[in-house]
Amino acid sequence: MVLEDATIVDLYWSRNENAIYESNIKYGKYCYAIANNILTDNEDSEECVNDTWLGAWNSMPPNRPDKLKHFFGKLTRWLSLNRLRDNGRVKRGSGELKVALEELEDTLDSNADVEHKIELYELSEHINSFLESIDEMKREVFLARYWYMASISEICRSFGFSESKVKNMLMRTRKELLKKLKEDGLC
Amino acid sequence: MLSDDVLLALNTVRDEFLEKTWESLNKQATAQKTHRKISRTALIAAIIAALLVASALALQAISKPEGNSIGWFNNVMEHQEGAGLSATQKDAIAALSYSGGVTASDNGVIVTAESLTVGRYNAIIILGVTFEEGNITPTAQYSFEIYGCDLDVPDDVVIDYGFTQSFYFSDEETNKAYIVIGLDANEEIMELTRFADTFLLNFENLRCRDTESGETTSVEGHWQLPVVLSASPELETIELGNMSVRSSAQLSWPLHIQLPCRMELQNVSISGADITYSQDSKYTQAMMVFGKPVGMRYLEICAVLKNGVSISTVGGSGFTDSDGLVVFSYRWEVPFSLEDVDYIRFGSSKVFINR
Repeated sequence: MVLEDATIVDLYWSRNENAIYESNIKYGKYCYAIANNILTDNEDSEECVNDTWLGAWNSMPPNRPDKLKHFFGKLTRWLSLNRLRDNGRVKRGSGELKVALEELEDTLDSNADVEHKIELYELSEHINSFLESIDEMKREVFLARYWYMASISEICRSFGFSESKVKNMLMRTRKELLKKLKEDGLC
Repeated sequence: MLSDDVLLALNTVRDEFLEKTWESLNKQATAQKTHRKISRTALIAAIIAALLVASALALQAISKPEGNSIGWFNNVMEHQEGAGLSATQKDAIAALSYSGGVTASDNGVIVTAESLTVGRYNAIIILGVTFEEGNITPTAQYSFEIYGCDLDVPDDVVIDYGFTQSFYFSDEETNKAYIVIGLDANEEIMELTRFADTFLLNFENLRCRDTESGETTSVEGHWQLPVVLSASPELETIELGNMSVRSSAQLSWPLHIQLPCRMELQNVSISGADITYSQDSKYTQAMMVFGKPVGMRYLEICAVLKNGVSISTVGGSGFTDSDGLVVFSYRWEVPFSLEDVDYIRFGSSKVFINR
């Protein structure tokens, strides 16, 4: 039986180590998919997923997340990006991450002031605001690509779009994002 | 702004957006193969359970201290573990310790180096303070206003040692107050006696703070104690070489959270008195992700003895060597025999000894 999120959170709060087992049962697959899209390495991805449970153990209490899935997902994504840096394996990622970075660079860096200093939290707020303002389908394709690091072919298969449509949609969204960030004085 | 920034900033995207995207992604996608390892998960749970048990140790009654090295370390153990030194620990400390045998007197105050415990990189010195006339105040804490040490070295050699002072206890029976001095090799010295083995300890102005009345009085004076530091020839070392350990990082962005991370340690070497290792300087600096400072790593080290007692590191110093590695040395809070060690815990990694 898969436990409710609130029950799993209670396990963490009561320092019951079954919390980790239950987290893995319920969200292990999800977190592994996020890690592996970034790391493209089975062993590293497994370790990042396990690090996610330890991170969760250290953060609950005091945190009491409403939705464990995305709490864990964000932790896994963050740990995976960190893992790449720590490994020093590939300077700026590999697999879909590398391609995704290049896509973003093509759009965002063309006219960007690279000396412009910006706090990440401020950028987060502006990007969140941008994502709220755009069409739902565009948003999902954008996040599938740049949050979950899904490949173009995966996105085509899942959304039922042609490759050119997905690529065009992504390019347009990136340009809109650049425009919005410029308007906001962020680049 | 770089594309990396966007990728990182996306980590705080709203949960409902992620949920819908994930649902869409999995509408027709084939189930991804996962490689869960329940055994590993169970192992993590077991480690956490063990940590919980370790933290549940109760504090027990503390006996009257003794004014020597064994007394001092026994007192530390009683405070921290609720039990004093084991017989083998006492033997190990006795092997590292010897009588200072030097005394200085000024303005009616006699200061004696009662006992010295010397490792490779640090020393603990127990000082006894008595008055030629009058008694010590049993409710007072004694300390020196100014303290330091000089070495007989050429003028162009600048040496810096870490020097700490802490009040130990006042013994009415012997009419003596005890002060503990910690000496750590600092900066680029590493080995405590690399330049000289005779240290001229300097103390000025004895302060007495009555813990009941809150009053502080002072006796002016200058006391110089030439102590000879000599690491015991019986001090064994074990070379553990290079290792990758699981440590912790305190992130400040995007969540204020403590997360596991890895650290690569090199040339790890332990003795019953201390531990030393080297590591890349990136582990000691702010963690940078795509040029942004996001947190700091830290590594807790402790020795766990076969009787379950855990001994932490204290003091310590570090410097960057010619290869760009940061070399650290730490003192064990209480010395022990290497034969008694079960494992050394680096962060959440265990390195077993004697198996």
